[in-house]
Amino acid sequence: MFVTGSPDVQGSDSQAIVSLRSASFGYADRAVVSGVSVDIHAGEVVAVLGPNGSGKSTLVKGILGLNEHLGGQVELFGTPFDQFRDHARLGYVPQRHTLSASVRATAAEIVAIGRLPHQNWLGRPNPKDRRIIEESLALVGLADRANIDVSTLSGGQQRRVLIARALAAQPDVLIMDEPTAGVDLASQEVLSQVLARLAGRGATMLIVTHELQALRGVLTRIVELDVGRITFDGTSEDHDRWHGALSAGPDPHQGGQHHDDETSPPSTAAGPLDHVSGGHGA
Amino acid sequence: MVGVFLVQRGLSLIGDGMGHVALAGVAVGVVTKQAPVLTALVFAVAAAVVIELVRARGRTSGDVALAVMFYGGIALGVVVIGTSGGGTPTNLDTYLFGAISTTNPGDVVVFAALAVVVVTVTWALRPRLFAVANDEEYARATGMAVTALNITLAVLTAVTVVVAMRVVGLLLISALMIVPNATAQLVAGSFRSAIRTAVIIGAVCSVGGVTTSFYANTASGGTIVLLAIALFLVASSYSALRGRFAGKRHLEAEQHEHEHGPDCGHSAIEHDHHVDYLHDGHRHAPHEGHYDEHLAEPKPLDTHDDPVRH
Repeated sequence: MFVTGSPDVQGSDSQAIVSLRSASFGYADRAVVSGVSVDIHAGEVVAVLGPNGSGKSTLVKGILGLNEHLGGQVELFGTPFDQFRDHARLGYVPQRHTLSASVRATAAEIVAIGRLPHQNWLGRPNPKDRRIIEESLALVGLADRANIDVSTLSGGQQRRVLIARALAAQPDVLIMDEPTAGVDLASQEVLSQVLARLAGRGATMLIVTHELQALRGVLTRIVELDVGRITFDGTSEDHDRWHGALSAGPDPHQGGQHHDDETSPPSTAAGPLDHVSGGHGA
Repeated sequence: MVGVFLVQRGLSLIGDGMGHVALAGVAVGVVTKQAPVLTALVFAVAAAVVIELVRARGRTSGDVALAVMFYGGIALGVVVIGTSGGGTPTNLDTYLFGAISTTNPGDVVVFAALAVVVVTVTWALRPRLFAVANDEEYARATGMAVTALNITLAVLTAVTVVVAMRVVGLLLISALMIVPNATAQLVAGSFRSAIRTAVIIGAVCSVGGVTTSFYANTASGGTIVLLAIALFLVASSYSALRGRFAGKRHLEAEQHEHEHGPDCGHSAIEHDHHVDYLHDGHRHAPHEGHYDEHLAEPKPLDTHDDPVRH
């Protein structure tokens, strides 16, 4: 929908795009993420933070159906997880450092893969598909490189090809795994411009990341995980305060500001109030 | 045609393994007086399905399991053929190394039918096979039947092996699937043109090799593969030379961190199907990972070159 530019969101606004209730995901019966409850609504740009091994990637891959759903309730667009078939509504941008080095493939050919869910088995790209492929590449700033072999592009440019591939599927939410990791600073800047451009168009995004700084101004919400559980859920201001509280102990200036976060109150997770009880302090 | 997806998936040698298993099928066919082509087909297709199921389970021992299966196939073939008594070893040679002159009209009809099936199915599934081979995880996330597609590709490979075994031989069939593709990768610029080039090279080598072997009285399989490898060597030296000359011939702009784009602040000049960006009076054209210096004089009117940070 970002690509065609239609402003209306499919389905009702109140319905969550992703809804998890004490959900667990993992591999071969071993839960990596457990007891996760979170709702993501249209228009939100959510960062999923956490140290290595905290289960960030497992969480988003679980939502995409790439690992085992081990418990709890998962709904996508109001449909129970096991009945969900419309996978093209989830636009996945995987974490990959190289794009197909073994065979030649142009950027446009990679992006065309995103159109496949909208084509039947014998179908080939029609003019509408080609227009969407072109627009997707233009949105990530690679319109002038559509017919270049992807293996000659830089790491950051390859990452943007993957974003364009997800966009070409016309998804209702973009799910990105470390889009800014492992690329140089200039590419990171271009990537955050691309993400800001998408956010400006009202795209809903779920972004696993380490580099909060690169995404500042784009995010509307931060979810932090540690050891497979949500430890924080709130706005980026709350997140700053929470981390300030963790490292510096109780902050006397913070007294009157506790009600700022009505828009997205921390649910069962720890939040900015925790330092009061001393649970996370020192 | 099938081979390109194998190269893309990093499975260049799988055709070879299937050839081993097909040999067991041939042997069983010879001994039981069934048509060796049919028994080979049954064995190779069964092997294809097992290989993909093992891979789909993602076991680390998968590699060992495949090796056991492949060598088990060839060992079984040799042992079974030995029990049939005298005269057969020469027969086995024609399957191992290929001898087109020994085929009869009935074989040709069967091969033609199988070849049509392989080409049709591969053509129909091409976009999806490309998607799965390019990024299996993404394909799975978009709801594609990844395992079914992989099994289909393996079965196509198996059928190709059996179709070509009388001409090229089971030991060399893998080469005919892989080498033309490797050559095509060197000269093509896109997946689409690579697949086309590979098919053309494969056909030229097959026809050329068979013709040569007929007049020079050499083994058809070996001749075809040697021809394919010769083309590969020509293409790789050509692309190495081209790379060197191109490096000298074209002018690279200075390295800069800034990436030119539609809204980078530098004025864009469109000409000859590409875009130059005016950067401190120089025209920078994106080329692979860097920028080329294009020397055409910019029109004076365009020179509002913003001092953009880079």
